[in-house]
Amino acid sequence: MRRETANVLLVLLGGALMKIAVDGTALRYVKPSMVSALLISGVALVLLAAVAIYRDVRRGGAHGGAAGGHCGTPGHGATMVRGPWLLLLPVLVILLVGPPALGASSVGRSDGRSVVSTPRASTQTFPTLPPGPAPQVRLVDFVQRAVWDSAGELGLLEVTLTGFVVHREPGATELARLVISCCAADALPVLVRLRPSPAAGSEDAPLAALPDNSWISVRATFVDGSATPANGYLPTAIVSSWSPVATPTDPYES
Amino acid sequence: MDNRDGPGVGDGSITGVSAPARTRPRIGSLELFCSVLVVAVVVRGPIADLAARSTQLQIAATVFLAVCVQALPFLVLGVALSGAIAAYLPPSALRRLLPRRGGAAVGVAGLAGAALPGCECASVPVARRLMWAGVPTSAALAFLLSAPAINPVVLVATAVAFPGVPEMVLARFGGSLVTAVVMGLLWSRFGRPEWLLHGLVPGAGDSDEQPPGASRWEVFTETARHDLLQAGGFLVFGGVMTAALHVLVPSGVYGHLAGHLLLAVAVMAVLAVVLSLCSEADAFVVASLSTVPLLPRLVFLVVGPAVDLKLVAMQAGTFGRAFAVRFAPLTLGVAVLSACGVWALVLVLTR
Repeated sequence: MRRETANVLLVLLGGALMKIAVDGTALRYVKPSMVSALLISGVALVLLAAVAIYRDVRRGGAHGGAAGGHCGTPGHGATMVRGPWLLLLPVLVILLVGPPALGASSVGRSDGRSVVSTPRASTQTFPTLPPGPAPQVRLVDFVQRAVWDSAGELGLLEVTLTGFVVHREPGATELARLVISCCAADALPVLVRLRPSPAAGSEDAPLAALPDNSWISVRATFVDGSATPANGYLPTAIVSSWSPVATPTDPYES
Repeated sequence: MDNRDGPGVGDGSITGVSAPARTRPRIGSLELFCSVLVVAVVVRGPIADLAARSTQLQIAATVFLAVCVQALPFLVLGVALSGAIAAYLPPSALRRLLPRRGGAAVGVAGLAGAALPGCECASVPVARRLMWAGVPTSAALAFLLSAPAINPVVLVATAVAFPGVPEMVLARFGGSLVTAVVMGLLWSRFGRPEWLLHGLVPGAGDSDEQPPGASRWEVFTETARHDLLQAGGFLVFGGVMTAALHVLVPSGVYGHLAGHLLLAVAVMAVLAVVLSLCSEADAFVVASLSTVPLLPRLVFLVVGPAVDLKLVAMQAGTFGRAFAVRFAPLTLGVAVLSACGVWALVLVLTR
């Protein structure tokens, strides 16, 4: 790859990073804390290319060597020359495909490992839930409390949960979120089985009719003892009401 | 009057015969690059439709981008620091820092790697220049193995990739340091100078010799740019492999690996050698394999910067095949053993 081409590539790559950092689509792939680092890296790449372009223009293109390829060893040129071409791939994926955040299709791939499979030390206690009616609780906190919180606070009151709908079995509705520890590549699902309140009549029909990946917010109460090793620590919650919400820009929990 | 067309052509009319070599009638990489972009923009609609229809492709694209985007800032930081070191810290200064005598030199050289971020690719030329500058070979080799693996950028990247598991950072540091020191000591005990070619080819392919008069700023920016283009290619390759593993490997396989630790360790060691990832980025790739236990993933992290296909090729080119053929398999064995040993130690210490 010639020097000029590599410089253009660096500009495109830096520009792509800046784009996803600024318009928020980076949150589909990485945590919010990485966004400023992405912006800085994008700017650095563009600057690096600009310096190289300026240097080339000043030299009149006479500095034809150092085509961004060689690693100081003879016979290794071919591999190195191909390397920079690969950097075009993320640029194209960002600009052409703009893949969406992971969703319902990733829920089936947990291989039996979940956020509650690593046992917590028994000495750790959960903080009390926030005050007020139906406090907002993160789905991962809800599931962890359901499995490990011996104080049983969760079964006593109604909480608000937000997530996307997934139907893994016909007739069953679950609320899910994806939890990431580093980036979207290591996402693990957290799930809560939703059941309609018996008093509400036929409310289950609307829930079951929702398509996968619909984002909703539910007010629900945990059913004590529903998360057992037998069902893979899947807690059940009785829904008293639910409403659709807009897809959040930051869809993952961490 | 008009001598632009070279001697012998007076009136500046037809210039084809004496045109300077700068005109390139064949397709160059810039033309290829631009055509790729134009084609991409033209087929943008159909490609987006195709992607939208296949969930597997979408997942693969998301995973691929996640790994690349997550790792790129660390890569940029790493090449910025290694460029600064190339520009402002010549190998002769390094030689002054290292003791001359055997065992101590190996230990100090191994630890010195912690202060000097460097891409794996840079460590081979630097080690060779250290040897020329008079550093004992065993110490230079220890530095060669430790610098890509235990520098701050790599350790921070590992901490970010495994939040809540500081044992991984500790074990990676320990495992790589032990590998570097053991290999240096093994060389000082068993190594023979005739296995090394470097004395015979001074300056061959030494493109990190900057043109005379290059300012430090120029050395810095050129080194950083070169390392970034090179390492970036390997990162993208690693991202593609991660996406492929994520989508193509059936669910049961990782669970099976989790049950057979020895097999998992072997698989991850081989994967590390084959993927040839830059050490600033490998933590993110291996963090995505969230269903594989921690020990095999640690083995991946310790083996990767020490021996992989890219490094073996470079070592063969720089130091000769006799060296590479002995060094690489031995490093692999030592790295796996030290990773397992250090992990056991860390587990004992943190319980």
